[in-house]
Amino acid sequence: MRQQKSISGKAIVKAITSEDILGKDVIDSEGAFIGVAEKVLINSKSLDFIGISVDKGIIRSGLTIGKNYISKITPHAIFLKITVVYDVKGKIVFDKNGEKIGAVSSIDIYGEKNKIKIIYAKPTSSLFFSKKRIAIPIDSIKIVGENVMLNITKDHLPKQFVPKP
Amino acid sequence: MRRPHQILRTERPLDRTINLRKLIGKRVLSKGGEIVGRISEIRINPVGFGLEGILVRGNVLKKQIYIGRNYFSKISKDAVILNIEVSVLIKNKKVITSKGEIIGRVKEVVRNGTRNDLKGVYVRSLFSREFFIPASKMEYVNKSIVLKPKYETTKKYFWQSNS
Repeated sequence: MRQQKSISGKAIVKAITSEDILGKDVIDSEGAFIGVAEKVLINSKSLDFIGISVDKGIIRSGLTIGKNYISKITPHAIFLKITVVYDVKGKIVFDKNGEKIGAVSSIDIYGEKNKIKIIYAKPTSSLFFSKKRIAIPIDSIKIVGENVMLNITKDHLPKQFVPKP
Repeated sequence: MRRPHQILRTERPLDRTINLRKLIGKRVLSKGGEIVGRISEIRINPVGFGLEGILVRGNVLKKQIYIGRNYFSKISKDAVILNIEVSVLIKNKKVITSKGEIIGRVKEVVRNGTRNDLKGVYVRSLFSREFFIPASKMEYVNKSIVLKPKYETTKKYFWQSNS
């Protein structure tokens, strides 16, 4: 095969292409599978690589991840430096004593950062169609792991319910 | 209800203790909130009379787990919260190389005696033989096991010889 000519002005031998990114598994910092890279995002002015768009399947909505959150791009996957905050949805919330509060229905984040502001949990006791939600601020959260552990008891949670955001 | 007589020397008063009978069937949670199971038995030391551990219920697919009190972080009327992530629960989790290749799933967990410390895991994939990965070769263990960059996989397929 004839050698490809280059007018890049730089040594781009080690550069990766969009083909090296698209279709690859995206794995978070805990080893959880997030989805598949479906788009490479490039700044239209600076032409710099700014992130990737991730396809999370038919049921779940897609996700855009900035390049600062990407740890490395390997031959088989893209590793992130973070755990994606949106993955907290559906996790069970337990209070300080291990009492079940409910399940995370939605979250508020700081701007477009990967940082939780408030977690909205649907109480276990409420009915399926109920719009009642408990707003739990980040200060009350001890650990977000397999589920969410709070550092307060159920009695110290805000009494008033907030409408479904 | 009338308060019972209390005959104590240095022990805690009745209202500052937990009724163990009521703990049966309650949840056992790991440090990160993973549901380990429900309590089936509470075991005490016949000599010192202190709480020694709890037996977590199993089922047809899942073995019972006996957890010693040193791994307890908190006992409340609703649950027992551990100060660890239970290592035996990593069974069936994916094993990924530093290049993102899935090389199999954990088939067996090898621990340091009966402790929770992980020594290594036996991994298998669909067409491969079982192979051992020591804990020292693991970058982190969480939702899956990600291996360190320098780990050379020793995966062997059925059609390859043992040598």
